[in-house]
Amino acid sequence: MSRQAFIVYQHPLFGDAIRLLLTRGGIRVLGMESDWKRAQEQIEALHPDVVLMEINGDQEFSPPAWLSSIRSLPDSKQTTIAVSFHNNHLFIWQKEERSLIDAVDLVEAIRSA
Amino acid sequence: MAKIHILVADDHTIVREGVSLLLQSEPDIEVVGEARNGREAVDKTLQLHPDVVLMDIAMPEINGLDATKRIKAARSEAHVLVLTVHESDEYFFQALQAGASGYVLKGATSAELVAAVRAVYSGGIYLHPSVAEKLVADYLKRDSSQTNQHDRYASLTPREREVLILIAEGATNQKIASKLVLSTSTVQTHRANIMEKLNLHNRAELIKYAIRQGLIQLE
Repeated sequence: MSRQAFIVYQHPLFGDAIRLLLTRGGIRVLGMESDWKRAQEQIEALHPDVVLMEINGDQEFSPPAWLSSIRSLPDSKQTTIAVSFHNNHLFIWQKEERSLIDAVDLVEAIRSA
Repeated sequence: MAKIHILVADDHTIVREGVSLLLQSEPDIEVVGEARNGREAVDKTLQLHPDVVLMDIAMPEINGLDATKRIKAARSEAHVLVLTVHESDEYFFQALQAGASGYVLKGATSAELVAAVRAVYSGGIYLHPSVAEKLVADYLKRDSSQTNQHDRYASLTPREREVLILIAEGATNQKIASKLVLSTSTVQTHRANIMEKLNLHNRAELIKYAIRQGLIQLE
């Protein structure tokens, strides 16, 4: 069964682009949301395997905000992956932090998370 | 149907790949190449002859603005559409001066990006709505400030206007008094009234005002 992901984005363009890249890579995208509160409701309802978050320097999308957002999720089964498009960085919650190579790399990270 | 051939230049791999895939899904758009920096964008434009180059600004080797200049100098028929996170006027004007035909922010939706590609391909100029809004607001602000200045000038009496020009030309109170057949204290009163009506605080500001209004000319 293919891995299921939920995308939390800041830039709609990136959200759409990532959805296409993941779908091409065989990942099923269950939903997308730019507002964290609405995203939280959907994540709780949809139970994706992975939550993929866009992070950057903006307060709402900064790594500290990301950490606090993850902690607020009641279901800890899903893995959260954060991607910074600003500096091509990939953070896998409590596992890994490294440079992101390309879309194949991101798909592999989701598959193996 | 002739497709719009596009080159996507962005140093962020995921963004470049994602945006390419997004554009490629449109029936009238074909992504003919990708570039990881400004130099590659120039080289690939000359090699692949895209109709539109989607250009990021902050890129290594040559930035997007310099790459745009080089592309327009070498291949003027290529339309450059800037895709950037920078919302400031400074970048926007620099991009247009460099020869870009459009300016899209990364906060745009994919539909807006596609519309922008089609607009610049057709020879038009595309401004992201938030940039256009900012420009209109700036224009209206400037226009309103000019109207205020005009209203203030209109509030001066003919005699005050004469005195204003003479002060701006560097004449002393005595000289003005002698030229207009007035007492120096009357000239001083006119001077104070002019400053108050025009909301100016010293002679330098008054000279600048006179130049801006075209009342005197720099030699």
